[in-house]
Amino acid sequence: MRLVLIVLLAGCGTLGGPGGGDTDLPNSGAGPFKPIEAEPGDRLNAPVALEEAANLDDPCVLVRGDALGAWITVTRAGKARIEHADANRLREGFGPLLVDVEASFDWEHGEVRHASIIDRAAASEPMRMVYEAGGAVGFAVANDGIGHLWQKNPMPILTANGLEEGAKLSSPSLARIEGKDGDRLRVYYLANGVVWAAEAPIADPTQMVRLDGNPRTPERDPVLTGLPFLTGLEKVSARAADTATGRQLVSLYLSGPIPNTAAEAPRGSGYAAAYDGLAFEILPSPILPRLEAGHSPSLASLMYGPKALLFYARRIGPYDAIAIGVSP
Amino acid sequence: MTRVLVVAVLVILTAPAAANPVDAFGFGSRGPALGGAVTADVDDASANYYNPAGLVRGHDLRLDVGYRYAKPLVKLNGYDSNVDASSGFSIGIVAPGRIGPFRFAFGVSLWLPDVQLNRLRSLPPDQPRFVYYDNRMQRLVLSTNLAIQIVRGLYVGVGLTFMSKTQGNVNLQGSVGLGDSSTSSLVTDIAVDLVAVRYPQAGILWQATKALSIGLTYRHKFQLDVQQTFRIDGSIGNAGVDPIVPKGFFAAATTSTDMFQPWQLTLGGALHVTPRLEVLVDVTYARWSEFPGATPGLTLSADIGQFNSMLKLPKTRVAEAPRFHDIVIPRIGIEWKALERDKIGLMARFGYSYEPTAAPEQIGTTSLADADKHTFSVGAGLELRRLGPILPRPLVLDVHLAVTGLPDRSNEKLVPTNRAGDFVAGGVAVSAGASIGLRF
Repeated sequence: MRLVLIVLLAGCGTLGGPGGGDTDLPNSGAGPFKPIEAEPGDRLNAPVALEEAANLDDPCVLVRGDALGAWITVTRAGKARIEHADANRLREGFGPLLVDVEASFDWEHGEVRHASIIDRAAASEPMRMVYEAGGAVGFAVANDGIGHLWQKNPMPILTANGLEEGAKLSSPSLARIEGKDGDRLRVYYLANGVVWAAEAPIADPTQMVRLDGNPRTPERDPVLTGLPFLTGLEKVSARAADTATGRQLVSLYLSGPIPNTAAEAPRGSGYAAAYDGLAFEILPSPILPRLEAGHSPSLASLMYGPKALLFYARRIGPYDAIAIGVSP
Repeated sequence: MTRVLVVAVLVILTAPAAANPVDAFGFGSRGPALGGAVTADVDDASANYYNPAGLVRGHDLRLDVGYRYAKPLVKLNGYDSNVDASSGFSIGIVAPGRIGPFRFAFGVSLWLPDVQLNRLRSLPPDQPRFVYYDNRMQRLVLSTNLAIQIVRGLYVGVGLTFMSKTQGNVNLQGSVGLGDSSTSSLVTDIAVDLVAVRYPQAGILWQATKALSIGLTYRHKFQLDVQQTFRIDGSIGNAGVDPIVPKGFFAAATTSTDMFQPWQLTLGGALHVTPRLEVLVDVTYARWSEFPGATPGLTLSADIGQFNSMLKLPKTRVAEAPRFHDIVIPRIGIEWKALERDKIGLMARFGYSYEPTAAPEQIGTTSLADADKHTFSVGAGLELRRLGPILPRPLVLDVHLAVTGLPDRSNEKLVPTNRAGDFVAGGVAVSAGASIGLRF
């Protein structure tokens, strides 16, 4: 097993501003994102991490200053687990992937994937993670301050209710929502092809309460049913962050197949956002160039200085690697 | 089989902007040192800008030459936007004359940027930019005025200010082989011109008493609308046979404001509180509500013959109204004769001005960043007299330093998917300059 790391020296030239009043302009993270090229003439996206004999997907990336930490679903021999890699700064590339979370409970059915992590707000707090396993949403905390040692909750914090959610939950994404009565943990997830939300007090994530995306109707509604240029939703990632003026903005990064008559439809990407985290506005255009057919990657966004970065999986040779796009 | 498309393309490039560098940082060195509050007391070449009537107050032929450097250190969300500095020379002449009892004076002043004579810049409508400092500093400004004395102590002046704009044409003509690019043949022709445009100004200056003078200046609105067009004319079809679309076209037309300056009315007073201390006050009304916006409206049209029914063009895009509002700008200056001798005089100057932003909070698609501006200035003037037979008249050396503070201003977007998002605009702008005035 060999880990190949490609440093983004050439690609990071894109991060520089052209000057003349155009430097480091405000950027909400709504894209569009331009894939960073590895080298001039190389048509492949520069991967952040590429590992032979393994498929990488579902990146979740946190930033502290210039340093980055990435948690990635690594699938080897058909078995998925969550691993992490660190980078002192983006231009230096990521270090080796190390195992973080593996399946250990029966309900996980032998696999864990799609980690979504929120950083601690204070040194006394743990880092918190939700992940997908056995069609349910698991929860874990890390008290080491760097997210390398995780302690999993023995039971899932959210399972499909067999009603509007069907029998399986996927693509869980965690957001810390500021509230008058204290912060809450909110989970966005896919079920029956649409995006739902549930939340719990930050002190007790097992007390999840399902949220209604449209309280004006008697039934419970999803927070997002789809994007106009995608035929369905297959992955969702959430990012909750304060805007420059200090109010909270919840962003959803989504992917799914685009309308196509071919057997394997190419995938597309999209963006929706809401100030309250429930009434989402949809951006009417994709945020990335068309993605290849096969599967919809998770799109993980973060602000890196004045730039927005989008990490996502792309096929590099026979395996999926983690690539990166930048905006503007 | 090769398809050949015959094209003729015309593109006109222009630069959206607002106002001019003299409005932002003043002219010469005495005026900026006094916060710009010199409408009622100015007689050097800077009167060409501040109050043309002041040109006829003096009796000497006067030449003023100066240099000024200004750097906006303005930030969006805490990041320096790297707005270009503005620097250049100010040159002015005041030439008084007399026909019997009738006194008059001609004045000419020139602001000559030393880095960029003019600037061509076109931005997407939704791109954030500092609308006040963005493009306005890279302008050549020439002002010519005539002032006359109506009666003793009452003067009027009128004139024209010329500013430059850049206009360029890019012509692309030839054939494009759609199936075989090697059959393409295109010729590009680029021509860029520096075009002069003008607006009038006028002023009155009344020496009410020995200690009190009052001035009034009007600068007219200046607006330059420019249309940009992109047009392809041609026939579509296979080479050697009749085209399936003869003489078709596709055209895109935008209308934008290349440059805008609001009309301004300034009332000023200057009072010698003591023989050595003068207090100057100006109040300017600037009609920014007429600002039409810097973002272009876009109209698309096409004719592709039998395929027209299959063509769906987006509706005409009308630029979002900027909704600027009128502002009142107070200015105050203090000039103190710190030293007064036979051969030398030294002035100390202090100034302050408050220019509220004319831009509303940017809640829509545009992000025209701006903030209130508090400008504090200091300066000094050294007058050397009796320098000998070569310079029998006084030589004046002026210097100034001005710092404009822009307190952070928040802009919160209505739509959460806005690409710029909420933003905070603020920062400082620093300018400094010096000038020499010679009297003959």
